[in-house]
Amino acid sequence: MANTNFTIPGLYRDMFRFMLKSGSTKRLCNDSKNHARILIDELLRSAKRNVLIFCRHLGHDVWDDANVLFALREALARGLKFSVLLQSDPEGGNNNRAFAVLKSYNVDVKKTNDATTRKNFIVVDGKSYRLEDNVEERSGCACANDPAEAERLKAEFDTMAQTAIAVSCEVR
Amino acid sequence: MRGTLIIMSVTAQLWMVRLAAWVILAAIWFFLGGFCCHFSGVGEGGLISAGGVSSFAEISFALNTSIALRWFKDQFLSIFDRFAKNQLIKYTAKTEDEISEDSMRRLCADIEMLKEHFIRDMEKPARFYGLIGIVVSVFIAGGLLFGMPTCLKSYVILLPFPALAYYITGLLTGGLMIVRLEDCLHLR
Repeated sequence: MANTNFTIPGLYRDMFRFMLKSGSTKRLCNDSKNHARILIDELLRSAKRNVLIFCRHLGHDVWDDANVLFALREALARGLKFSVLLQSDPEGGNNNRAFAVLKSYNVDVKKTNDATTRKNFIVVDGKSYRLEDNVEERSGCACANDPAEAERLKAEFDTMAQTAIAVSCEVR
Repeated sequence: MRGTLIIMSVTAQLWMVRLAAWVILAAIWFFLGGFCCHFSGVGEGGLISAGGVSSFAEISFALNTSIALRWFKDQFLSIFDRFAKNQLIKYTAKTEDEISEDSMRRLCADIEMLKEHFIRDMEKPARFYGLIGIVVSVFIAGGLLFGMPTCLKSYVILLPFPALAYYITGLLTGGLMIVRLEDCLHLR
């Protein structure tokens, strides 16, 4: 595992913030769960219209993070359109906090029967995204402004969503 | 970007140097006021009490100066840190095709290196100011030995020199900082 403890705190976040602010078309890679959380957090904070989330099961290692949960709650409170597609039931079932937050804002969380896809992604406002191609290590890359790739991911999302069913577990 | 760097660094440097120079000169002034009153014996009670007030003011000035200088140093370092960080982030985001974690580590190392150089470049003129201070104090003390009028005369004559020295060293420091920034940004 790469050493991601930079001596300058917040540098990675500052970099992605700058990329979002300036509409950079460059890709920013992440090798760790910590940086995955930062990217998702910043993407949710930057969202203005809609958010697409495709992931295996809203894993605790990323989605249970306090900053991510806060950003998720704030984005939902801003009235953004959320579309969430999972590959299995949320990790921890009823105890999954991200799932509980989504349900509390009546987001329709669906489950696809496609178990072969080995990646997670989040697409924001049809232009910025984070694509995770190694779901175990949580490594992947993000881009603040790539409408073509965002459109491709959205098309993939829509295809998988066609056969999706509602997630079965209920939130207490 | 290069032009902005030059203007910002030199301006910021000069303002800090100016402020420090004038605070130090004001402290010296109050110190001398008290010192002269005590030793001249002119006006007995009135001037002695004025000297007491001046001495008290000198102590408080010395304290304030030390606190203020430390505060300014911290503030300036933090401003510089943020400024350098932003500039290097912009530069990396523009020049790298894909920003990997390795690029981020390099960026981090660049910022740290820049900060180290900056602190080192700041310390050199600080020692120089100290030396000037000692030399000026020796001159003023010499003036005091020949009585108050001579002392005042020497003080007035010497006044512009430390200020000028501060300005020049401030400019040099600003220049050194730009050189370091350019090294980091690979502009040279």
